[in-house]
Amino acid sequence: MEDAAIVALYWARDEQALAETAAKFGAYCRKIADNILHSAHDAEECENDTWLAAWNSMPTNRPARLAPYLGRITRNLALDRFDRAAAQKRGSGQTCAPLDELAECVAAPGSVEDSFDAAETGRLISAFLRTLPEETRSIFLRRYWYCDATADIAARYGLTESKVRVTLHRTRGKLAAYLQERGAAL
Amino acid sequence: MTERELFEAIGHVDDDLILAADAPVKKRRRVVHLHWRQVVSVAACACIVLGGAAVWRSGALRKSSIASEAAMAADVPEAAAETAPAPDMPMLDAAAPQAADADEGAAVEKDSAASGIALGLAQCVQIDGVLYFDTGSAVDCPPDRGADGVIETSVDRDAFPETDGCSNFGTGYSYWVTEDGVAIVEMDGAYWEFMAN
Repeated sequence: MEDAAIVALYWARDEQALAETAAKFGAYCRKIADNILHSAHDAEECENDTWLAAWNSMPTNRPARLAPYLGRITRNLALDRFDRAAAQKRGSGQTCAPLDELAECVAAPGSVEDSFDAAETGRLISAFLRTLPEETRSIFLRRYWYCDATADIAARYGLTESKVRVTLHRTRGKLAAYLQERGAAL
Repeated sequence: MTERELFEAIGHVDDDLILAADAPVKKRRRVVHLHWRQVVSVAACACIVLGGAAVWRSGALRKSSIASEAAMAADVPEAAAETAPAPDMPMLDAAAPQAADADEGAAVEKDSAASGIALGLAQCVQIDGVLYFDTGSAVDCPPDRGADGVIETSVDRDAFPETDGCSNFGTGYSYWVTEDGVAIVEMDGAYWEFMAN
């Protein structure tokens, strides 16, 4: 079923929307959640939470494409769940590696920071990504949006893991410089 | 901004970029870049082996022709033997130096052929006590910082370096050591990936 038709079901408050969403995007959202949570059980719970959040957000929202919309919801829910698990020390020592890597791009603790606007910063990051070669851009997003492991990214693009890591390292550096030049609080 | 906030901001990038990153990828075939030095090394080894084999064969042929000449001389009728010197030790001795020379030449060439076969060691460099071997893969660029060092000494192509900053493929090349046992070496304007042994 086309995305527009599924969104129409949500707007009509037809519960068939949930079945169609799960059928079309279930594996997609579970993968994103599993990349962050490293637990099939937690990923499945996160997937169900995503459907509930989608039901509660449509109407009001009418996304043109459901994949990024739902993926965004899953991503944030998974990270919240990860934070809770880490706080309860149930994370089996797991860290969120993409998050740790992004720490290189942000200001040192204790520095003065302006208020943060996620949407505005997201627009800046989009503009930055459009300056990059397509493959570099995709590698960056596979790592920090989809939270894929570097081994999976290397396999996806037919590269060595070391090349993926070097590419990500350089791109993070360029992103930090780009955001600082444009006054984003880092 | 915290890393969590940056992570959240990345979540807000444009939908078309997110979808493009999830599009099916036509996997590239990993192309092994044949560095010209590798090609020349292999060609040189092939020449040594083929040349040695050719010289050895010519020496063997000469020995067999000398032996057959000696055999033919032994079959010459007695009448002919009165006019021509019979094949005896002096003649054979006269031929012997040539045969001996051929043997020595073959031995020398065999040694060269053997050493040529022994060639084929990958390009490698030692940095901080670790040997890094050329993977044959190129990277687009080195880490975004000044080089960690320059290769200052070199051993023979078929030997292992034993000191830091030493390679078996030449000197003057800059290198960067990255995480996880990878070093990047700049050669002739290109950046090559070396992996720790």
